[in-house]
Amino acid sequence: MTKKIGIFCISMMLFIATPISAFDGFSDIFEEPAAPAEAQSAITVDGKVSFSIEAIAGEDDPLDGRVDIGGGLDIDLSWRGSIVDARTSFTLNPSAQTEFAWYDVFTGLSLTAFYENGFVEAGLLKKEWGSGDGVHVVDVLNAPDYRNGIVDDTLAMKVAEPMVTTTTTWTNTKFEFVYKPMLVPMMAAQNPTDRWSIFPANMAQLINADTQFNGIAYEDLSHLRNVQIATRIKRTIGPADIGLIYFNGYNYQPAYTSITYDNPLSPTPITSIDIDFTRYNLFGTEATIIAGPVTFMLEGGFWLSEDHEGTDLDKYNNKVVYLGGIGYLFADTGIYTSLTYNGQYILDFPAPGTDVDYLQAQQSSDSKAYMNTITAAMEVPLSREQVTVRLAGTYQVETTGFAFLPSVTWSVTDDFVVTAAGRIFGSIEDKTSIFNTWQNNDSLKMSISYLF
Amino acid sequence: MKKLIRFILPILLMSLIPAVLGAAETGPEIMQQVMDVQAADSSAMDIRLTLIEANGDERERRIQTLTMTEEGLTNTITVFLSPASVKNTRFLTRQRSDGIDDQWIYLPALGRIKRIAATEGGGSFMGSDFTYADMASTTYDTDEAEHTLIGEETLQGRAAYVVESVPITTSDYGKTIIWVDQQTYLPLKVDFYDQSGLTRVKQLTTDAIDYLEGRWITRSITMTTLGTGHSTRIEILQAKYDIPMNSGYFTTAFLETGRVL
Repeated sequence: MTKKIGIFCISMMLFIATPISAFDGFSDIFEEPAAPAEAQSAITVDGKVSFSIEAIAGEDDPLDGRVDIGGGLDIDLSWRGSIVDARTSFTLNPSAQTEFAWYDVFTGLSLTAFYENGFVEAGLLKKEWGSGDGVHVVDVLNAPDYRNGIVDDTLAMKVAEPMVTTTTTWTNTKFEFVYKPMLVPMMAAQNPTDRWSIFPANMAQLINADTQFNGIAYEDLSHLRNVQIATRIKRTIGPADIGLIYFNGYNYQPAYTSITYDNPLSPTPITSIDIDFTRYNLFGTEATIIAGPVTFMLEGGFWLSEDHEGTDLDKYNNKVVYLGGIGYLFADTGIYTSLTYNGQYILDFPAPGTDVDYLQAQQSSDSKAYMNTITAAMEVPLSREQVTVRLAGTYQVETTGFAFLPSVTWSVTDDFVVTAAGRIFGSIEDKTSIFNTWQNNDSLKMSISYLF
Repeated sequence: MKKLIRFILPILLMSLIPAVLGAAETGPEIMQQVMDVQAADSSAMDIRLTLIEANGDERERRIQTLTMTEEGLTNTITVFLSPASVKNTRFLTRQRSDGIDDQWIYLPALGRIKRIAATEGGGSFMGSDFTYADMASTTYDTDEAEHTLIGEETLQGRAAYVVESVPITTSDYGKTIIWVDQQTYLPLKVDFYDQSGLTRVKQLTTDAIDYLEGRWITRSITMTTLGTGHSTRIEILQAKYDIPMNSGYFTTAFLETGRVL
């Protein structure tokens, strides 16, 4: 926390001393700026004010459900200097259901210095790597945030992480190097009674308030040994954008070790759970290929684990990941639809036991070495783009778990938006999965937003 | 949003053509004149696009667009300035030597560039009354449409050629009729007909013209969908032609950062 305040103060000092003006279009070409003089400012303020009511259906009787009140204020402040850009993001979304934490308020900081053919960006950043439509297997730079389940917004489900990136560009080629000074694990509700707990029922019943989670102290995550690096080189070749990725860092998903789990002979509460992380090398690739109105999306990679022989029970094994997707834009109507298939295959998959790969597979892939998911999305603009209907769904093949996220957005005016969004979870067969765990979380959320 | 702006530049270029000396006598010759005078190595436009409901309610969009042609290949960068929901969205089109366009979009909400498919067709541009297909059916290329001079009329107090264009290639329209100003060669009006060629479905009118830096330009045009009464007005707030332009604007690096690196 102290480090982040320091970064923020440095950025403020830099920009107090730097000639700055808000971006107002191609001001070097047009004599008259796009924004009227009185509207121009050194600082650009964008954001929204919102209010929402989310109704969650009851397990047996719908009226037994409850209502969550949400919304608040989101603000992006940006400065534009002669060779430096800066941006900070704040979110004030008070909620009676979740703890108010600093990382939920201070959601982003970006300080970017430009040089010939490139730039350096530092701060609390969210980055998306990969060619898929919101679904990726090589998107390694940010841990996911499952504390509020899943939503149809890729960045909203990412944890902003401290990192420094350098980007250098040549003709049709871009090279990026990323330095991450610490390990930031995925976020999830640890209380098994939480609505969005990711613990399956058979494990959740063994966890109580006395259960200790060991090994996730902040000071442990910021050890020098936890430094992570990533590089990506991306090039446009004819109708394709192709990238190569190398990452040396951690699997953001913790490995729960030293636990008693799913053992019918000793169904006693768990007293402690050790949490460990596995260091990986990822050798990955991504490609977007355009063919007329069709977009092909490909990702693939090999995760080389520190437990490359697959013998350490507490470390995840090597695995192969893959993704193939197709997107199609109906030019006459503006409807965009995409279908994505992604998965992974764990090498040296262990026999049933206490190996973390097996425990993880038990929870998410029906105890199989492979896990495959199909995701589909469709966006339909209506009424001259004042109304947008979006349908997104995902189906996990091995567990038959599914999530369906429909939404309707109505722009009453350009700055006033009404949204209705649903979340439906379930499982065709009664197999353990995160979607099965959340099957009583079906909800409908109505929100209004003012954009500025 | 993904079907952005390829259409708008041709239609604006069509409207911003300079005056041509000498008269043309046949439809193809008139339209060829129009084609010949469109050429510009570079252009920059600051545009206000107003969507007008039948009841008079208006919604405004503000965009700026740069176009540069080098070695016969045209590149375009467009920045959306308002409303807030699309502010700072940037769109890049680069023409390849095989004639196919490469397109990328930068969405500020996602903070990333996305390669997208090039689109053609009759979809609405930013919810407006303009479509890609409008351009296809009003093409001036004599290889793509049959142009027939069907008369001369006085429109808005100006002498105009009336040219009927029947597209040879697939189009959403059966025909268009264009009134071309005999002095400036600016289109004063265009009527768009359905596939049967009998029913007029949309109408483009020129609201204001101007003489700027040795060129006649159209300051304002309005497209009206006759069935709904909805219309869209495009106003050229600023326009520049054949100006020196940094090729760094037409890169994915500019798309991502908003700066020429």
